[in-house]
Amino acid sequence: MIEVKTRHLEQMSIPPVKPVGYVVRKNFSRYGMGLAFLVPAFIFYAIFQWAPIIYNFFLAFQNYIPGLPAKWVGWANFRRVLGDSLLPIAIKNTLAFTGWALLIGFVVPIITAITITELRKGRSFFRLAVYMPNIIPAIALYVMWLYLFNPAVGLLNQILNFFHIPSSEWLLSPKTALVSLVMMSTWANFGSTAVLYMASLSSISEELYEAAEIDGAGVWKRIRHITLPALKPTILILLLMQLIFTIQVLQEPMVMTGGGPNNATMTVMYMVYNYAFVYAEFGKAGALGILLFIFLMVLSLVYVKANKLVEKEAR
Amino acid sequence: MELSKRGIISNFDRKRPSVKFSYVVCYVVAIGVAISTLYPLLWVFFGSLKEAKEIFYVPPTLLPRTFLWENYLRAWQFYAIPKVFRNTLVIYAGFVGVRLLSLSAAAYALAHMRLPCRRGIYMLFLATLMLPFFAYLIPSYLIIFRLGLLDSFWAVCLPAGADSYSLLLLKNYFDGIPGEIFESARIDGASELLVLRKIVLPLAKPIIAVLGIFAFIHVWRDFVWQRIVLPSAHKWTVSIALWYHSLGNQGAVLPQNVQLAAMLISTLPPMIIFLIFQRYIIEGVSFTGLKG
Repeated sequence: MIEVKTRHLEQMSIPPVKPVGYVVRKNFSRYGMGLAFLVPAFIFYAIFQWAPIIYNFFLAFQNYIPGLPAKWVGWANFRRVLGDSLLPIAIKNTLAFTGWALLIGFVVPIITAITITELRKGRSFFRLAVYMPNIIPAIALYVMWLYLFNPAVGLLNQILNFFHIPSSEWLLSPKTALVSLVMMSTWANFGSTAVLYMASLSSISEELYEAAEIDGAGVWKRIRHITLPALKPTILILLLMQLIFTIQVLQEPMVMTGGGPNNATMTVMYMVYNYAFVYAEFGKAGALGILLFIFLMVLSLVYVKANKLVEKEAR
Repeated sequence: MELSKRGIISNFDRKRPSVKFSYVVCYVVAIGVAISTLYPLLWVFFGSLKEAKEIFYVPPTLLPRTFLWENYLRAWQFYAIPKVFRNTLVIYAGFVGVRLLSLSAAAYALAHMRLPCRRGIYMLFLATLMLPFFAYLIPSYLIIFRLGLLDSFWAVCLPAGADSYSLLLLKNYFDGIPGEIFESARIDGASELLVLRKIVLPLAKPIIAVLGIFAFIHVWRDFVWQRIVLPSAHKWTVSIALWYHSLGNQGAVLPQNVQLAAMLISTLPPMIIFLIFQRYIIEGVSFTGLKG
């Protein structure tokens, strides 16, 4: 009501030709306070989210060592990065890591979520147990898993021996090192994904299942035709997020294997890190960072587009 | 999260033998998963109490022969636990303060104040939601360097002021509060700052709790960023100290049992927070997923 009145008054007082100052003042009194509330967030975003992205584009074309003046070098950094003999290995490893992580990290949470949601008793205990590894700080996790991976006395080989399977070298062999890292990070992260699926499972209405049951649909049919379609939006979002999250894998190989043995766990992001913080070649780090960035952006755009296409065809 | 009384399987189904069997399978799977997450922790706990020699016995023992609680004392001293805990908590306080100041004001403005092209502004803030942090690790580091913030706690706290995930959470929460409350306060002559302080923030306590808990777990577990912006030893956080003494150059010097004790000490604070506030955490996780 008040709003209407003031607007009415404003309209009455509008002169035939509006001076610029008037428009500014009017808009300021209208929006000023709201914009003022956005200023802190705007500053933080500008410095720590938007500037880094723009800065990275400049960095990629410079030779830069912190403290010294930057030198413009054109495409040289890109040429040197793409010519690096380590890059194909790193790309292969990164894709392998992502592939394994998606394969295991995608199926395990869904199955866990569906089974736990079906339980009548002890659901909250199991949810707690499943989420527990997410709480362990990353470095503590690595300390713990180095011990579990230990070929001589680690828990994992003990379990294998218990089932009469020959011991594995885990992180120490180029063949198994990457998969071992995937195992560890799946163990550490699948709980939060499972909790997300549980949330969207519990939002499926009971009536749907009732109706399907009355129509004679068995348990498997109900899962196929009700549960999985209802989970689809969550699955799509989580797949994209997991993809983006795992493609930039850095911490695990950096801390646990140092990229070894024999570069078996060297990843693209680890190369970026090494360029910058080991070899102090920030320009090369910027160039490779940009390439990774563009790749991820294209990937998520294609993904979103493809999903829309599939949905259209399904209709 | 409200859980339904029936799931895919109904009470009627459960009387059928084949379904009964798969219901049992569900339990077996759930118990298996729970063992796979909890047993390694228990195993590491026993390891932390063993003698240094006993850890390397073949075949390995499960229970320690003698419970050496002094491993924890040694870890406490060697890793300078009081100092690194204090540093991490100081960082956490700044981290949460900066984040809440910056984002609660912004989220309130986006939800309930007059703004030109509100949607555009909101999208601008959310544009970086899907952006991986590591993708701009290097330029962020250089910006911190240029601002002269290297080796200062601010280098960890200030970037917290820009986080699209938290902004999304806060904005969604504020959207759920009816605007009339604020309108009537404004008509009564309250300034926007007063409204924010006296009405919005008290109403937003649950969401602030969720953000605070997530921030705690984040600060406690973050490593790469802290490692590159906090080089000097007296500024080290839990993550850095644990890394340096257990996995970095010193790794080989310390006996394994002390390392494991330190690992468990460092896990304790977030674990306690988790056990106390697990409802908030699990609801928070669910909420972000459904809306994001």
